[in-house]
Amino acid sequence: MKKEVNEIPRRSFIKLSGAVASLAAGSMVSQTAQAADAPKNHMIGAGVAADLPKAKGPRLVVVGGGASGLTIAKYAKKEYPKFDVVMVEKRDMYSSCFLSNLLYSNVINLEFLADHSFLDAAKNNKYTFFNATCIGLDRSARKLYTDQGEIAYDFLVIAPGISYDYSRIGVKDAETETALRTQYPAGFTMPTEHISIRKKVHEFESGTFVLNVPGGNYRCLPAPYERACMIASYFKKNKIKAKVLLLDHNPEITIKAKGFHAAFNELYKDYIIYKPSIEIKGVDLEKRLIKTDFDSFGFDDAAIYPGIRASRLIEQLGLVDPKSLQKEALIDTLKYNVIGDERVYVTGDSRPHPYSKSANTSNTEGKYVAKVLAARAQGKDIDWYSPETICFSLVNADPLEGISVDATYAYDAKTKAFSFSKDTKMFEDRDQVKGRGTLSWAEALHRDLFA
Amino acid sequence: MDRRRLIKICSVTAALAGIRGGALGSANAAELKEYKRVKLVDDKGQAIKIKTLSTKEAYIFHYPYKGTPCFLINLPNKAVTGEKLTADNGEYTWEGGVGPEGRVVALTAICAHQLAYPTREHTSISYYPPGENPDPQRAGQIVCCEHARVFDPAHGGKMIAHNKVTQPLAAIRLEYDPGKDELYASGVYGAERFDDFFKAYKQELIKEYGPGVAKEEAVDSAAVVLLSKYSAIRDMC
Repeated sequence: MKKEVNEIPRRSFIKLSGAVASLAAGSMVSQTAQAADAPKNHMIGAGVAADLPKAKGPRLVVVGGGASGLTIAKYAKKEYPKFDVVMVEKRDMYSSCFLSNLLYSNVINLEFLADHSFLDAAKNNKYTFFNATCIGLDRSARKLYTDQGEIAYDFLVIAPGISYDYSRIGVKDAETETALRTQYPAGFTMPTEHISIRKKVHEFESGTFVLNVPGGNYRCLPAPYERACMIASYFKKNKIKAKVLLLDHNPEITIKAKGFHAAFNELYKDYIIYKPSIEIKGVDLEKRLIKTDFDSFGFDDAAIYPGIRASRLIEQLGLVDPKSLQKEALIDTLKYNVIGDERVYVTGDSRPHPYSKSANTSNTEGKYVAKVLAARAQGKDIDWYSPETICFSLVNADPLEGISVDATYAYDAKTKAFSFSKDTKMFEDRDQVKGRGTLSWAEALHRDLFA
Repeated sequence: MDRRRLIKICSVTAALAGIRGGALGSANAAELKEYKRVKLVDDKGQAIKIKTLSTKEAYIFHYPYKGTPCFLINLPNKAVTGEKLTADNGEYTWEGGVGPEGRVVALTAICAHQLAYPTREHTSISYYPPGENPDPQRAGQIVCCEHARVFDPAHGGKMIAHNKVTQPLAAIRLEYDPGKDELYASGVYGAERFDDFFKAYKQELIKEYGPGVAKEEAVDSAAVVLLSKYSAIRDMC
């Protein structure tokens, strides 16, 4: 490989980004050869058509193979079979973020999360899986740029999820941020974080394990509380002399509070210390201290969840609402298209809505957006209806016991605001039905995304 | 077989055939789809008698394929007749219950939302008979706990909305022979999702039935068993 790299003309080599350096040497050479003749400032992949079959109908490109993108790719094709759907996903292997807390208590294994193939999803649902990273967008030319070439689109859905925002916990230097990402990963995006956290938990011998709940509309409201339960459950079962210290930015547990308080008090009295209204203002890595304005908390190990924002891709593609605190997309909140552009849509956790950022929300929202796209491709439109947030949380690993919420949203046309609908219900008395329900909920979602 | 009913079915079918054969050429996929006519029998192979059917619990039988479970329910009251229903693949009319009092109905037990179904080990989709429920509001309904889908068997499996969007459970056409007191299944209305079901559970179905068996059409008879005897654990929510 080294020899081939050295053969690349120096001028072209400089244009290659770090990310591209990890590509196979063969594709580097061919891309570079074309890039050498291309106009100045071209990125890798630009000026080259993606290696895709010619579109056989209106081309719908979906960026992002999470709950939102997978749902839209499948259901847009079902709703309007003339669509030629291409899913652009940078990962070559799927693994769910939803239910990943259950890894820490050994209720599930990695296969439960990852035994789902992008290829099968595409084959089963008659779309194309294209393993590439989105690197740019030209909305006037209706072209998406990827590291594997350009794709012309008729409709484009961007569903890239979230990015972390470490400034929200007072971390503003790249050195500390990088150290935190590496040493104390949050575990709400990449599967590799989940694996790191599982290792931390299973190798923990004694002391304080810190978890935190950020402010704002972070991904999966109940997840940090569920995680505390799962880790405490593991410590309890394995008789580890350890405490889970859960520092909550919020004044109260943000959802299913009664059910989580009951679990903390009744199941994990000796294992979980819950502290509300703790706003993290920095982390001293050397001393292993979480800092606030008034106090500091020592820890032996941790998984630190900074604030979140819409995926950086939204900002990089110029789609951010400048007024959004979480840098979410500026879109029509009922139809999901970028304001003034009915060809480009933003969905999933990069949306600006106050919806719970959960897989079930994205899945149900995705079915609605698929109908919007199908209607618009035929010159029609449909009425808005609410996504659903049906969300189970496991609070006990042995036996399996869970709690749940069943929420939908209401839209106020006057204020243009969304809120929980009156039909929203909490099921906070933990039991084994909801314990089993947690697993079957996820299995059903996997089926819906991949089968 | 109830002669009047047979005539009605024949005329409906003939009318449909007329449309299908005509210039319109756009058959409504949700309307009745005929499958093999099978007799519903007990575990000894004897015809199920309506008067012996409990109203306290649902039964399971497999139709129109050997691996596709359906609920057989003896409702406490007469089911509505002529319910107009809308599925993802079109509109259709459900004929209602059968038997002397029109109380016996059959619906697919595969959730129209995300395909949950009763297995031997466990079911999260169940019929909640009147009187014995965690939530009295659910009496007489079919509830799937996976994503809180609630269907009304007295109205052809229509989803009880609560602000959620899901098509009705596909319904099984039953025929009743009052002379012999025998029940038959002979077709499916609405959005059957059998292809999705076979795709989603291919490995599970091979394991339970053997390669290819679950997809074979039921012939001659289908055994009816109480849901409580079929699924070891029934989740109620």
